[in-house]
Amino acid sequence: MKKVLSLLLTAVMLITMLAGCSGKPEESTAAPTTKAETETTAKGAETEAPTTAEATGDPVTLNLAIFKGGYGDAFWVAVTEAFTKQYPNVTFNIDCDPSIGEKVNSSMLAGDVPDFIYCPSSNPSGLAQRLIKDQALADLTDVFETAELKGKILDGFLDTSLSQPYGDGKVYLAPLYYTANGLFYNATLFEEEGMKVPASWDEFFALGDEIKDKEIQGQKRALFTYQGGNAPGYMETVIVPLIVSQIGVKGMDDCFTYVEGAWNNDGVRKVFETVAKLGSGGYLLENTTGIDHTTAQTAVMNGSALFVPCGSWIVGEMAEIKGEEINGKAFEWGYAPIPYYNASDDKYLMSSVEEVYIPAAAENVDMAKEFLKFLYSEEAIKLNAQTTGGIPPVVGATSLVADVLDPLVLSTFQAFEEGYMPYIGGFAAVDSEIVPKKEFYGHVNSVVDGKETVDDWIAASDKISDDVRDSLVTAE
Amino acid sequence: MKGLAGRKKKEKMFLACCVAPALIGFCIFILYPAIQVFRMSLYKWSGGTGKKTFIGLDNFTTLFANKSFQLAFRNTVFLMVFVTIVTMAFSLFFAAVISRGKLKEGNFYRVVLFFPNVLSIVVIGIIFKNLFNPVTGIVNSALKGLGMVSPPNWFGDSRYVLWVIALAMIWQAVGYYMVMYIAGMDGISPELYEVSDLEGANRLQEFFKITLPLIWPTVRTTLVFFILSTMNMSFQFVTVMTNGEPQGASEVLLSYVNLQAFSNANFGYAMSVSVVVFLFSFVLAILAQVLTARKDK
Repeated sequence: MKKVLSLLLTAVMLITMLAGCSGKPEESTAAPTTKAETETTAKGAETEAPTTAEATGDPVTLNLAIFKGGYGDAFWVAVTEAFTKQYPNVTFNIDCDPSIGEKVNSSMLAGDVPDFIYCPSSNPSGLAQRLIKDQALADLTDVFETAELKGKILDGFLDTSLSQPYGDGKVYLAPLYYTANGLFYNATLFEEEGMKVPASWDEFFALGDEIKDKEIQGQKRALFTYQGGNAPGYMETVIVPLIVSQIGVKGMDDCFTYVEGAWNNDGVRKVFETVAKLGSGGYLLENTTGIDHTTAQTAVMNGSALFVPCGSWIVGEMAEIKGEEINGKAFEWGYAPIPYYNASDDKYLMSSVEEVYIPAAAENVDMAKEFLKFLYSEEAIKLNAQTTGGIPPVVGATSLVADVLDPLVLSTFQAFEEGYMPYIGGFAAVDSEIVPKKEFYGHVNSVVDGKETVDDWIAASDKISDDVRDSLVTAE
Repeated sequence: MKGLAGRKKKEKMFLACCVAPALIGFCIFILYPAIQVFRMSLYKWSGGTGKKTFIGLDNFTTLFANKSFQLAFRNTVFLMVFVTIVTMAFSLFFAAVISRGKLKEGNFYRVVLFFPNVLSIVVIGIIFKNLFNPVTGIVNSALKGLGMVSPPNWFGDSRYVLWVIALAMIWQAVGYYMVMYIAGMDGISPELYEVSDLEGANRLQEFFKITLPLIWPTVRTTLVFFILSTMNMSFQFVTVMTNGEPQGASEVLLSYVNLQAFSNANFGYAMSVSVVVFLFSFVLAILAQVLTARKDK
């Protein structure tokens, strides 16, 4: 008896050793149904020819590597089903995982290359940056020159350093989602207290002065906070559009491509001084530079601060948290564009873009490109808005999904119809141990805390440019 | 005679077979990757499928001149020294009290003090991150309640952030080393203490003249543990609590490696930093052993 027991226990121990082995990614729940459809529709293929000419009839399997973030995987399941109706010979394997970046990094080294990747360039795994540096992405320029897509993508979204990483006119990363970033506040509070949302910086600071010593609804409030502790990069929402309004898109692009002395001008100085004033004027929530993004955003929800810079994803991200009730009315998010200096200025809003791309070494690049094209179709745009609340930068997309989108999210996009232009872009990819974005936005905290002057910041920014200019990643 | 020799050979074969799996595992999973780290540090490589360019020792010249690396190095050294000294002091003290103190609740204290070591590092990191949150944390609320007008910006001020991380690390480690020292102290014969008692020694003298010298071999071993565990755990604590902010003030060597290897797609350079980490830890460990060796025996 004892012997049997000990043998059994040994067997259990040995088997649990295998628990660490990982299997292949599960096929999506849509795959079995699409397989059945393929069998039945194959017979009816002659009578139900797809509208586009590309379906060859040869069975193709597309492997999708999808980042599972705030948007989940609902869209991908839905859109692959819709695509298979038009291309019955295509089956999908969807690997939707929060650590897809790391997974694809290793699987590509092992020779297992996905056909299509959704993993934004902001993802900490650095997957997009790695593929750019390795020249491992397929050229997507032809996809956007096709009849279906030519002229359909909103102006400016295809010729930024995020889409054209080598600056050579060729698109390698396609924008799937875009946002209109700005300031978020407690709309209920402003309505109940009769406060006017400031449109200019003068009004903004005046509001700050007004609330400094008084209590609103029984609480002292700070004017502004931002995600200083772990993500001062959120301040790009404030800084970048202002700089563009002062020195133009070319001026900003020069800064982001490390042109010598690009930061050293009056326009940049004016913006940096506004940022410094947020700190020196006492408008910031205390210890803003030490709080993480959740605390900063919660601060607006519980009333410690009035404004926080963010994108429309804030609604979904903070959905679980209960904001303060004002006069018995529930908390509601409000959106305001970044204040302008003068009403006559060119007005811009930072637009955060999430990209999709196709590895050059993928097995089915052509079919993957067809799938990519499909993501910009009306059907896919509607599915996207329904399942994620996000939309691609396609002409007319906002009106197409106006009835489906959360009203606040919709209001953020409407700013683009009220005279605001999107600015898309960021620090260009460099092959260096210096991380320009991290270095640059780190200075926001020092300047706001008074540890650095605006001149120090400008000098430091030009120094970053000097240090990395020679390491710009170019096409080979 | 022949029989004996034959048996000895069989024994040797048997022993070799027993050790072989572990040896093979060691070679594949530890030795080979280590060699690869050294090799890759001589290349410029993104870590992906792109090309690897041999650049010799260029990565090393870059890293020694790089300010972020220097800061990460200084932070790591600070943590190693501070966390080691304070943890060792506390664990020796608690061990002495529990082992020699004959407290009724001795077992209870041992469990309570060891408990933090059982918790996952991520959990501890999150606990301390929330405790010291400059806006919503209990520590600042308490300080405000005691009358402080502007409590410190624990995670936003480069003067304070490493202390908070050090505190979290100390809290986590004390129990582990305390248990090791208790084991060492329990091995000391009580007669020695009886004799010293008769001779009129007080507790403090007892500790420094009897306890400490007799557990010295244990302490020497734990010194190596301190070096390695501080190096490794500092990465985990920093990643969970601050991610290196503000501006690298809490960056440590291993979190810097992680940043470069993955987010920055600069794998070859990250490997060169790993080589420096390896050599540094190795040298420290040897130094620790040499400096604490005793001339007797």
